[in-house]
Amino acid sequence: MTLLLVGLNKIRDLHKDNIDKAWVGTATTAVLESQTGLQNGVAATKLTATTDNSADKTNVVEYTLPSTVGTATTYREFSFILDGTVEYNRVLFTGIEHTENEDVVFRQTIFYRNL
Amino acid sequence: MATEYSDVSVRDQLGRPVDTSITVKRFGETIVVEENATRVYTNTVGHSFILGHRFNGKLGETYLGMDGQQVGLGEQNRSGEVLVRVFNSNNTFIDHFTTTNFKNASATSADWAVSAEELSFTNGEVAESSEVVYQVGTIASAKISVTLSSGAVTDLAFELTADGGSNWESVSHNTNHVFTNTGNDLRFKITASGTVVVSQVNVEYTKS
Repeated sequence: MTLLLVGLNKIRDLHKDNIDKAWVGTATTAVLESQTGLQNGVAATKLTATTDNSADKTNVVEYTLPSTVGTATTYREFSFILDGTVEYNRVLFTGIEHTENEDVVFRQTIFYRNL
Repeated sequence: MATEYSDVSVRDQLGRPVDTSITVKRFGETIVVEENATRVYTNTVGHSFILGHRFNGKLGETYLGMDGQQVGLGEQNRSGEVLVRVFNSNNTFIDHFTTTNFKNASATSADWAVSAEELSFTNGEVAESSEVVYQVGTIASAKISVTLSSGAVTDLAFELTADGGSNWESVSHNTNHVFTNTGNDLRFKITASGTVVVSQVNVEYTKS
C-alpha cells in the first residue's frame, strides 16, 4: 500500500486551505517544538498569506509585509498561521530591517512526501 | 513505506486457549511534511501611490513621495523583487525538483523536469542552482548528497561555491567540505559523465 500522488496532493490542498495568515517578530531565541508561536511577534504584521499549490506535492506560501506596516523594526522570526489562530511553524533568520522604502516578501516552500 | 508489526491478542470463543496470540501485520504510512527553503525579497516603493503610506499616500500635496518626485498610480519606479535572504530549516537545503525556483536556467543544460520531479542528465550535461543559502552568515562548510532514480553517483561530479560562483570548489559526494573561499551565497553545480537521474538533492551547511 502506498499513498498515491493524488492523495498527497489532497493533503497539500487541505494544508493550503488552512494557511491564511502570517506574521513576523523580533525575537532571536532558539526554536523549540514546544513553543506555540513567535516569541515576540508584532501584532500589526499579522496579515493575509496566499498559497500557490500549482506544483505536485508542493505548497509555496507567500506573505508580503507592506511598506505601510510595522516599519522601523528589524525582524528576525517568521510564522504561518492556520485558521487565524494556530501558528504552524517558527523560522529564525538573519535580521531584516523593514523601512517605509520597501515591501518585504517571504516565500516558503513546503513539500509533502511518503517516507 | 514504513511497516509496523503489532501483537494483537485475539480470544477465540470456539475453544482456542486464551493465552494464544496472533501476529497481525499492519501496513502503515508515514507522510513527511518538509519545510524547505524560504526566500525573502524586498521591493522598493519608488514613486507608486500607496494609500496610507506616510509619503507616497499623502493626499493634497503638489508633490507626493519621499524623494519629492511626482507619485503616480501603478508600479512607478519600483525596483521589482530583489532577493535579500534564503534560509533553510536545520541548515539543510532540499530540492525535489517540483519547481524550478532554484534552477540557474542560464547555466543548466540538464533537464530540470518539474513534471517528472527529477533532474535528468546525459553525458556532459550540467545543472547549476541559484542561491540555496543567501545572506544569512558566512558559510564555512557544506556537504552535498543526491538520491538517484537511475544511474551511478560515480558518473556525477560535484562542485560548491560559497561566494556566489566566483570560486567553485570540487567536492566529493556526501562528504563535508571546508571552503577555501568562504562567503554568504551558497550554490551547487553537478556535471554528468553518463546518464543519471536525480530525484532529490540535499545540501547541508555550517556557518562560521
